[in-house]
Amino acid sequence: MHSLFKIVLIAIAAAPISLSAQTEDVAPLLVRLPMGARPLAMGNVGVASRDDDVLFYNPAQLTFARGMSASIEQFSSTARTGSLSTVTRFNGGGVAIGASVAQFNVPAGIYPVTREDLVTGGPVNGSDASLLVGFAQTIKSTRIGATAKYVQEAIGSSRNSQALFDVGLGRELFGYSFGLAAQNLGQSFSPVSVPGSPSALTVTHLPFRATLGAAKSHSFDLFDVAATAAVSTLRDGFVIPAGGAELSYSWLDGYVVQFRAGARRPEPGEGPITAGAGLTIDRLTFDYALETLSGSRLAHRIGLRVR
Amino acid sequence: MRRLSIFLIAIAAASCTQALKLTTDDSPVVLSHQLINAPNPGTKGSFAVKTLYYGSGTDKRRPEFRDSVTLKTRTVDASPFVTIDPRQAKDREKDWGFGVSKFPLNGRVWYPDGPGPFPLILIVHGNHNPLDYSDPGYGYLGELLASRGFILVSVDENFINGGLRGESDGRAWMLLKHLELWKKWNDSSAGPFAHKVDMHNIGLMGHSRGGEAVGIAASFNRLSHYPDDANVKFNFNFDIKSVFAIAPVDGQYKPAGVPTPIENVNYMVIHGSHDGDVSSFNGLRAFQRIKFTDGKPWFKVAWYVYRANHGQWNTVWGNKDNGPRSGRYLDLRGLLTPEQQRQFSMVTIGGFMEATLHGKSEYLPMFRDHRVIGAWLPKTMYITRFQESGFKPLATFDEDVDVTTGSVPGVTISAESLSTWKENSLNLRDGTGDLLNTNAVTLGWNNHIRGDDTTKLGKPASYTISLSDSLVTSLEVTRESALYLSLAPTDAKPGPRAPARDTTKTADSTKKGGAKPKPPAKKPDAKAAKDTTPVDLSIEVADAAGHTARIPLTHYGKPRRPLEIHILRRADEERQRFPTTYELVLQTYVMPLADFVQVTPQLDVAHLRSMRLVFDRLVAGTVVVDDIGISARAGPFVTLATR
Repeated sequence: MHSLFKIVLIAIAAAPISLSAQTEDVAPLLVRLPMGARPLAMGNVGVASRDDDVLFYNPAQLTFARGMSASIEQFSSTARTGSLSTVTRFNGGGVAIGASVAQFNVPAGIYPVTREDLVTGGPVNGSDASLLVGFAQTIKSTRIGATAKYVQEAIGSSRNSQALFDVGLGRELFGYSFGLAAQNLGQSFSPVSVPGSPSALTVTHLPFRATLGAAKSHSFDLFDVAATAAVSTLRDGFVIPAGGAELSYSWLDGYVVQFRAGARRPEPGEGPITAGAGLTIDRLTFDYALETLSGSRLAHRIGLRVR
Repeated sequence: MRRLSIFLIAIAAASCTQALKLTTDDSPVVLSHQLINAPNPGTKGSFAVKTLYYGSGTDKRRPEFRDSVTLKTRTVDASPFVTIDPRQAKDREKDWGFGVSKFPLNGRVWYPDGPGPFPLILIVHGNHNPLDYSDPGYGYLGELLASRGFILVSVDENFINGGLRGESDGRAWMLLKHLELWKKWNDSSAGPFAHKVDMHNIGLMGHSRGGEAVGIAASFNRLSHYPDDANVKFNFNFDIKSVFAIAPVDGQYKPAGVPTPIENVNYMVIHGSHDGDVSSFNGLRAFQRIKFTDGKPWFKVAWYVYRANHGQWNTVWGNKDNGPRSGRYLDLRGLLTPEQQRQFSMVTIGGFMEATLHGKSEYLPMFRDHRVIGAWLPKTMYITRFQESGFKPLATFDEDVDVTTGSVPGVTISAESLSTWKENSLNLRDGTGDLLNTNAVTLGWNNHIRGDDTTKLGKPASYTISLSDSLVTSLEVTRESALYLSLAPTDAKPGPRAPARDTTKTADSTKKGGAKPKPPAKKPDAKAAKDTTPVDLSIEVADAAGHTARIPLTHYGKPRRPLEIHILRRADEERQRFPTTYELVLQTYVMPLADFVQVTPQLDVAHLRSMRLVFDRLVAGTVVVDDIGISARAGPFVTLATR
């Protein structure tokens, strides 16, 4: 298991680091979008999370994730996304199912769609949807998980779908909870014919993402503090450091208010800052997050979690 | 925005702590007497206090047991008694520098500066964060007891703390291994404790799981083999005279699957009503099962302290009984201050050890009736169970299901005009259905006669224990004997009783046929409502010649309605976790027969015929009664009385 960690770490380290914006020939868009209000508020880092929406970030963490949640995000008047997930204990590990959708309008002749296109808008209707099943177990103190997801994309008249996979590892080390995930593995979407495009067929690649991150929390009398940080490498070597922190205040058992903030190296269409808040009442949590987008725009996400 | 404001206001309203509810404090009256004319055992004595450490000398984590030890000790193999999951064992060994096969014998000692010999007392902590070392937290007791002529050792068992279960036998066994060390040091010709330890007067004290461990140690002390593995032999047989348990658990370890039998030691257990960790008075179970079988003058006490919690007995543990985050759900507002709580422990531990290890009998009355030391005790409310080895049971309600028979041949029970008369098991408060492993009798009465005249009262209800002549003779009842009963009122109040049947009217035999008149519809008794008036009743004894003497029960103690307990800040969580807002702790009343003779000089106690509970001082109520008995040896405990 340690060897596997080493191999993945070396792969991330050896990947060509690109300091410039990555080439945008990846599809589908859906799997590049944030998928949970709490991780979004902390720099969109979820690789070491213990909430059920970790299904979208690192399946290995499903061994101690619990509950169910749903959230929706509005990027612009014409672009929104939503996700839901639920985890249950199974055989000493965890099993989760989830789904996500995105609806957007984009300019004509554009493919693949980017995050920038979501806020630009346009006359062409598009939608993505995915269905996910994840599973995780703990073997000799190391958490191992995998997610299978079926993703469908429809932009204008083009249709595409594919089965993708995520794999992940997790472990407690030196008092921190570490997570390592490789996402969006599998076969790329088939080439697509885009009206108005100079190419007869537009080839895209899967938006591969490898992330190594950690999280730690500490409790005081009435306050809890949590922090998380991660480094992701994209398919073309674009490196994204990100991180966030959460301050929770509980004045009475079962009632907690959380304040979150995060920062990230933005991809095209994104801004660097994220923030959010949450209110927990017994088993119910209301989460809110905002992320800055390019052009000083904001996207807002709200979520509901039940533990 | 308006909707959001309403939503936020609703959340704020729902998320408030429940109002603080405490039973009205009666201590200004109940604790208004100080009848024991002896030095306060909770204040320092005349000895200068010295301290030292003993230990492995190699402790990775504790410098005092590494660099500061005066006496180096060996390690012991606790693996037969303490089971740790292999993965956890590896982590623990890495953290502590030793595994279960090499547990150190570490202790911090407070001892008097003097030639001795001094009684030896070991105190051991319970389960807590293993890295928040618990053993220094009894330093205040060390300073007190050493100044009063005792050696106190606070034993380090932090390395057993953490997520272990069923390890209390290991905690107990460790204590006995410490006693072996002390015997060796006392028997040696040199060293700080050579011939300075009174090994015939040994006391053990324990807190929480340590409180269970001291009872187990007292039990193991007399055994030749470990009950769970007879290949492990024991050879202890120390003169453990006194066992003091502070807020103990009970039943986490059961030798051979049965509750730990404890015999022939002086035993005292204290527990706080607002204990946020061991939320029920578990120690009452140990109190109930302690037996005195060797004819020596032992006694046992269970002392319930209103508004005391779990952790404040130890200066390290503090008031958050379940860890730093537990302030979010534990209601800490009503607690005694740490100083008050420790004042109580100093008075009672000091008094107990003085009485049992120094033989100072002037302190004995405080265990029978806490009202005699009103000036020494913090101003709160207390309930005390008590029994000494001369106690002979008459009715303890544990033998059978016949409510008319007692615990020994020659006892018969009858009742008159009771609305409630039943025997039932007593439960602990914590809602798990946990039994106290004892039965009691519940007696309810209402002297009002049901009918139009709501002021009409009938003859007071009563409950009579009748004693045969041969039984009284065998019990050797004299004026020096004392009657015992333990009693607690409840909030239940039966409705008015039915009028007596008029037996003077005869049936009309000339009437033929026709339907029989229907009996009047039986009105259901009024629903028992919460009663708040003070409870009292009379105890009446009668001899064979018919002489009677009656004394109010309140002469011997305060029958208290259940003391209201709210441990949690949220009322809904409290209701979910605890079916009742009180722990039913019975108060023991010890009533010298000499007092009854004073009321009726002609009373011939040697021919006692009955003891009666007469419910003539409160119109309606319900009480739970247990352990009715008599003792010929209560004398030293009843030398003082408050009236």
